[in-house]
Amino acid sequence: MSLPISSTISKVFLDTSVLVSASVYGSYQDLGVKLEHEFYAKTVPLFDIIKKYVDKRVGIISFTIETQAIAVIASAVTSALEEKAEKIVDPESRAKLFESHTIFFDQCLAHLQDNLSILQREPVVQSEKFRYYSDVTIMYNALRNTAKNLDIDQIINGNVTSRYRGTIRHEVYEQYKKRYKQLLKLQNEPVEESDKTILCEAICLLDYYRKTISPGVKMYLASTDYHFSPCDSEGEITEQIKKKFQIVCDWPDEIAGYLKSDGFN
Amino acid sequence: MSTKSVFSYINDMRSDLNRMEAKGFVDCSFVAKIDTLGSELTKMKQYWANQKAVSVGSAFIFYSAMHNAELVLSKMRDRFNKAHKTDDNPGVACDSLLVMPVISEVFQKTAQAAEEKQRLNPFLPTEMLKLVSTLRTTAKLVNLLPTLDEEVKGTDKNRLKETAMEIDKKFVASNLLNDL
Repeated sequence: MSLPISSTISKVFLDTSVLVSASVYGSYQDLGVKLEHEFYAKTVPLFDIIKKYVDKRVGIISFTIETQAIAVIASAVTSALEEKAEKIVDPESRAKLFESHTIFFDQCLAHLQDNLSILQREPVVQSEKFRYYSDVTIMYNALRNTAKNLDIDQIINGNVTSRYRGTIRHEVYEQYKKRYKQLLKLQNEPVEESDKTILCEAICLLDYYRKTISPGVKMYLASTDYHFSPCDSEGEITEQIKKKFQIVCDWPDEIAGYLKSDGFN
Repeated sequence: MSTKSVFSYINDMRSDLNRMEAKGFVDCSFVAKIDTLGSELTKMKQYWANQKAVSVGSAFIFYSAMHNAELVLSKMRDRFNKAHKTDDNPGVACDSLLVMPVISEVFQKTAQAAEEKQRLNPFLPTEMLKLVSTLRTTAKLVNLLPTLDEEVKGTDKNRLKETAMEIDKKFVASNLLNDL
């Protein structure tokens, strides 16, 4: 049976958060325990498509993503270990503690390897990547300034007549909070350098694909990080990335939906 | 055995494997050498489990590296023991030749970290993580990586369950922080 051929060339760049979410799960049938990352289920439809269309090299990552994913998993495992290990002095108990942690770590590494085996690792030249660094930084700085100046009370005062302000204030306030959730988050948590690097790499790869494959290549960035993907509602960061760099950022399950629309059924 | 002796031991093992490959015949007495190397890795593993001069996080990475090298050796031992019965002759020698250089490097970096301790090169744990990943990938490709069920055999199941649940909580907590 031949697979349906998609006419659209679509590429999905997977952020570290997606690769980690898709790799952190464990099933211990003997123990009756099944654990999985909170977002694991959201990654399944995307990985199903990537696997099905593996010959089309839909899912892509970079060396940065791969390295970060291993480090993030290790960091979560070691932070759980640290809390316990500090209280245990007995060498035998300590060894057992290390052993149980390394087994879980190995399981996650095994899943990570399986996931990596269906993803295309694309080389990104350092100098090329940094060509976009200033554009990306300017965009995030501008968004942070917008976030800093975001005053929901002022927005309500400007948009709701004084007559209704008192009675519906709480409801409207919640609505605006939801509407500007991505910016409000940016107020408290500025974008990390690693996120900027990831976006620069995605831009770089889109540029490369447009030059070498087709000018119509569609590029998606699958992420569970609100610095890229919208949280609950539309997001200014997501919109800006799309407008400035033509990259559609969203949660992995949403990206799976876009791919289906592109013909990857 | 000193660190230097372990290296020359690994080199001798590689020469043995080369000979087996060239002759097309597996020498089952090689299992004794696997056991000797395995016991050196176990010592190093115990050293890192009880090492307090570095952070628990760094110690864990080197511990895990030794654990993974041990796993590969255990599968190698298993295949050597059955090689004549399972028609794995000289396949197991050829496959082992591919992973021995990685085991050697893993041990070399772990021994280097043990020497450096407080002056530990901050990039070494990250390098080690990549190396462990390479070791597992290479070993899996040549069927020298035990399955998870094989790995879990003989471990304290209750502790494993407890650990898995704690780590799960860590991931959930970090997600909740992101979601604030």
